[in-house]
Amino acid sequence: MLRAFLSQSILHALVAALFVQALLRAWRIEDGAWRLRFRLLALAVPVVWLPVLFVAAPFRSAPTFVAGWTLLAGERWNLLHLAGFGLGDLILLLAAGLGSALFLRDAFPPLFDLLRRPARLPDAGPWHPAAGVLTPIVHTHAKGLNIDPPRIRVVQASTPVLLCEGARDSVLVVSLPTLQRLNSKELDVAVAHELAHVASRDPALGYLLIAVRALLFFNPAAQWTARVLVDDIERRADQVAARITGNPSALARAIAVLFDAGHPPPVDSDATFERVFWRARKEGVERRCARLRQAEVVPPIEHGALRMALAAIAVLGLVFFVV
Amino acid sequence: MRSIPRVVRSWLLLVGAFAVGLKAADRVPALMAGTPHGARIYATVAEAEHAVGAKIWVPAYYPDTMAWPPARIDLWPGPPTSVALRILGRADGRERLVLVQSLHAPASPPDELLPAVHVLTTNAVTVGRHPATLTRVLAPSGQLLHDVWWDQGPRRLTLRYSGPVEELILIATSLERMHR
Repeated sequence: MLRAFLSQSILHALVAALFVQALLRAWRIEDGAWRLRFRLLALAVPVVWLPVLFVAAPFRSAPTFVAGWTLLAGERWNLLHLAGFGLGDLILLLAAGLGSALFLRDAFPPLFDLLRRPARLPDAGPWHPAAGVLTPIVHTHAKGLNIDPPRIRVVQASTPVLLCEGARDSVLVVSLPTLQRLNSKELDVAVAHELAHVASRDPALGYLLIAVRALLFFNPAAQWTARVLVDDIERRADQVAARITGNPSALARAIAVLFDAGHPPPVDSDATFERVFWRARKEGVERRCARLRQAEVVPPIEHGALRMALAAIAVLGLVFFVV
Repeated sequence: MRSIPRVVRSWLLLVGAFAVGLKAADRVPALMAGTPHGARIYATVAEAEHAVGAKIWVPAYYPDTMAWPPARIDLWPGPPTSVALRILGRADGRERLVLVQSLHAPASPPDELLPAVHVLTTNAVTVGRHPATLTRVLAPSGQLLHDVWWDQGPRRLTLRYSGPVEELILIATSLERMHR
């Protein structure tokens, strides 16, 4: 029972992730908000739909259903053996290892930082002049986004920090190096980007994603979906910021400047995987900046609800026949 | 509105491609292992009994030229559910005996468990207290084999044997006696 659940969790997440990715490409969906909805659908498959199937459709594990109705039965891969083990079980084991590695790769650094350093960066204090610079920008964009302006917290840090935190009462956290490195236009659009996160309640979504990733730590497809979902959260905020400021190229510059300042290239003594991860992140940032420079206006998606319904029918229907 | 057919067409194409891809991935193991697609394979009689929720009948007598336990147990979901025990020769490792039993209703073995063969002669015989049919058959490989089958309660038992017919009747009789 547990083996079947784990195996189907990985298979379902994989089918859902690949199908949603294929749909996003086939339908050329660039709108970050819609991309996010499709990704959430893919993530809902192993989290919500699979338990529902186990409770409501136990007949899916019956020999008649497995033999005659399934599109893919993972257990059949145990017909093949490698070193005395069923190949299906070996693939499951490897996939669980990969999923755990992906989860730990993202979970360890913040956990390590938390243990090594104080949890919160020290405040620079409410009298700090940086707050005065930011307040009018924050108020202007908060009004444009129809939200209450979040509190501003200036922190003491040697590297650039610009983020919003807090699931209920959002706070805009900023460090002095951020203000030193960005010009006024770049700062304006970067703050708009952070307020777009506040308007969409992205910090709360971030906490939800962490919980889902911890729950499905063994599932590499779910870990991958959660990672690309974060990229789409950023894409949505980028698009909102570009729309309300009309200055996507300044946002691209701000992203590149803050990344370079906060993520220096690894030195030769760093482990190979650190260099690989840095290169992957750098390429991701470059793609994001190129997207902002190329498509200043993202075309609106037509028949979004219909597309979403079709995607849900297909994904939920396909995985029903995967056991 | 003109884009709706295009949206639906690309969706249908993707659904079809994924269904075909999944089905292909499902077929690969059976093709590579040379086992019937759709059958469930078990390593032990106990595992198969646990899966079907019924006792699987095994004969009490085997010639000592045959290896025990069965090399493989195939389960065909049916209906009715059928189970095939495949027993190899001790010396050459070739399949010597296939015992197929339908579990909840008498039924001929499905081709997936016992491939169709060319029947050369048919004789009525008795296995213990049950009337049975004994056939001499020619396998597609050109090998001469004997089949014997009879109905016992809700089961049909079919044995295909590569060896002397007297041994086959002894094996069948031991099976019939065990479950009278």
